[in-house]
Amino acid sequence: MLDLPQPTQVAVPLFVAFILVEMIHGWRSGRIKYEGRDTLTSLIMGLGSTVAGALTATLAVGFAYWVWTNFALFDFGTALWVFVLAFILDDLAYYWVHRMGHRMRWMWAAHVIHHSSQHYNLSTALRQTWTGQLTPGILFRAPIFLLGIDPAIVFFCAGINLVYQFWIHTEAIDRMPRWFEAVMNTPSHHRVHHANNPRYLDANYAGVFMIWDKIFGTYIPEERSEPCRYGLVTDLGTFNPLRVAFHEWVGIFKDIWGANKWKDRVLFLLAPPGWTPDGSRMTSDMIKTAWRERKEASKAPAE
Amino acid sequence: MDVMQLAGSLIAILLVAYLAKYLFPNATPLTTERAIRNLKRYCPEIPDLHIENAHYFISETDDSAIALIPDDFGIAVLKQMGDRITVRHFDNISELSVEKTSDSVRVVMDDFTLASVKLKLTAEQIASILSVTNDTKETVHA
Ligand SMILES: [Zn+2]
Ligand SMILES: [Zn+2]
Repeated sequence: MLDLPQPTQVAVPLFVAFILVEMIHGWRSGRIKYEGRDTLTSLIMGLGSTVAGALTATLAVGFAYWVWTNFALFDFGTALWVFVLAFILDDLAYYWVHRMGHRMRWMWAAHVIHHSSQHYNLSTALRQTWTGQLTPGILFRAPIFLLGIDPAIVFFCAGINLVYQFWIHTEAIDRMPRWFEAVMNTPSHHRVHHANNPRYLDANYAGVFMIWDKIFGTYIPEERSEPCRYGLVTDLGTFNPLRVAFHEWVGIFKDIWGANKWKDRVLFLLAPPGWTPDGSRMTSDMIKTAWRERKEASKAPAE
Repeated sequence: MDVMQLAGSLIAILLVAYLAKYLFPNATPLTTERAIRNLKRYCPEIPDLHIENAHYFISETDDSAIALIPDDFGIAVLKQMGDRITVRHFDNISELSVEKTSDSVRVVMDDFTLASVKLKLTAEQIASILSVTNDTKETVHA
């Protein structure tokens, strides 16, 4: 098995250093906000994610090597161009894992953690899931293993991808140069992704390359007229890391327990967050539709 | 990750979080004005005028509030989370229960991340809230 370092582990001291720099810059300029308990929760979630990841990694790694060893179509080897190809393909897979992480409640149960802060700063980047391996996310990377790229290379690239995404969790950078904004994921694009304004819901799922959102129709630019408001559609009322980590799983369990049809039980897992058989809660699509209707109504001339 | 690494990480986390708390003290209490602004954001389907005319009970601790919204638009519970505000809205007051102590009420909800909110209020305010919530309970059970 190819032995490659774990980029996220190697980068931890840099993460801490940049958080301190942003925090002091924010304090001096008054332009960036941190909050003690919010930061504490984000960092505890990050540490917990590392521990949980180490405990459950065998699930994903085992699956990846099983596919690669038994079904790989080609032998790509370990040349540099294979790393480049793996990085691009993994970023494409990340786009779909992330998109489904917002559109399928089972995967949202794990990903919601990352969106649970009402702040947006570098510490938010470290607010990561503890339960990612309990979702079908790894299936989206299966085609890469099937093609024949060594899973160790893919996991290495996935690590680099996560490290890249650290710096975009900031309000300290307004816009990058235009060519960069066009191709790469940036603070501006990712602020939109973390915003709960109806206009910005379900957008900008990219990891590193912004092109996937543009190709698949999920790109929404940040508007100066509408500042991002961060957090969930229904924000959390606790800083307790255990409740933060498991709240959506508890919600799914309660809904499945209370359902009386098998179709509903399955849909409580596979349908978008907010779906209910009787429409009594709002999905993001419903929120967006209602927002558009309000906007149209306010534009219509009074009778 | 070994135990030493874990302990070191925890200490680093506590130091960074303490620095955040020290550099950014929370100086924004939960006021009626903030409650209105957040309720408008959270419940855009409720007419603004109703939100502005709601009856707000702000806890003397400045960190929680409830709003009784006129014309059957229900009740909202607001809680200060650090320097931000979390809102819950209920169409029907019977969806939550209110427990009274000598100088406060505890609003209990079926919500995993916001199970209850405690409001320190005057005796008059407590009586006012209880009259509304008890009325509703009676009609529900009638
Ligand atoms: Zn996301
Ligand atoms: Zn993010």
